[in-house]
Amino acid sequence: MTRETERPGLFKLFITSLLLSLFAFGGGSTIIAMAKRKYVDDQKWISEKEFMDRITLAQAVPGATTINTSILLGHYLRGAKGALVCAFATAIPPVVIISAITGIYMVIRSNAVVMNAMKGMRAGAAALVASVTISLIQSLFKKKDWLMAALFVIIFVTIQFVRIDTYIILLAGLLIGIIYAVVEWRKNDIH
Amino acid sequence: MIYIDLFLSFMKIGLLTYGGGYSVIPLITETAIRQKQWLTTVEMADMIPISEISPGPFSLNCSTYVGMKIAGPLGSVIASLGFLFPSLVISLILAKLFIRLNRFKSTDNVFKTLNACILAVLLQSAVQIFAGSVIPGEQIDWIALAICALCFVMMFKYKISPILVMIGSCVAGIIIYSF
Repeated sequence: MTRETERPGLFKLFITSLLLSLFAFGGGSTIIAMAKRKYVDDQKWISEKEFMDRITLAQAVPGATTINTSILLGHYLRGAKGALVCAFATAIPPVVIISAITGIYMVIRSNAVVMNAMKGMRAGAAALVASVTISLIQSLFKKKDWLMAALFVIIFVTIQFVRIDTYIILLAGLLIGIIYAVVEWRKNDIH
Repeated sequence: MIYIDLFLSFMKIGLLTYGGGYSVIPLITETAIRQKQWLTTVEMADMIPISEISPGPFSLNCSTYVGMKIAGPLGSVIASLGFLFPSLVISLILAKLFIRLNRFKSTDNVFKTLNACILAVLLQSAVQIFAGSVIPGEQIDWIALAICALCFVMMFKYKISPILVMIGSCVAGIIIYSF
């Protein structure tokens, strides 16, 4: 059991989150690992158990998991103000960097070399999305949860023939999920 | 007004982005290409490497990119704020209501179902992005197909970091298309 030291002030929280976000290349898992080292191991602001609980909860919230984790940590340490401070501190570096890159890209994209680079990267991006999607499909079928596999196939086949708003599909998925969860829950409750 | 439209559109996107950043792709396709015609398919394809290489969450990076692309720096901030808004509100509500969500086993079933639906629309987007990159005009771009196939093997089979593969495809594009 780690003993928690004094909780940080809002300014310290802001700087810590900002630096974490700025130096966390390589997406979600990197930033979570760095955050754990900083918050749990070095500063002892939060126990490991409380930290892990917040990571689990962050997956249940829509949006980017890293931002959600940061919001929940901020809330734990400094209430609603802490949540707000952490959200902005985590979001500011990527927003500034992407705005700059996109701005530059918009100016130089008619350059011949840049056009060639983008053609290569589009092919790479197509491979990336395909790779992620196929991995997810593989793990869906490996689980042998045929109800979910069937749902996936039915939706995919349907949208090849009928144009359905993506938001409607996901909202319907949420609704079906809630009904399914309630049915399963009641089934387990009876036995 | 474009800023209000951006905020509300990305709020909607932020509300339904679940299970890893890539689920934002079909939602941006729906809003920014099909409904609002803010982006072309090619401009959306360019969003992916830019968002992947940069630090920060992929989904937020995509929001910032679209905002910047259609309404400049203020647009990028507004789109990002719109995307973050549902996260902030729902996080705060859940943090107050119940912190130990792992006790609520039944939520797994909700996300499982939602993820199956997301996967179906993500597959649709994957096919579109692949087609857009490999068949940019009337004919197949064999160089793009080769780069794509090679990148796919590197990521899918050999698990090489996507950032490295994106940089590799960028270099390959410059070298092969320039000569």
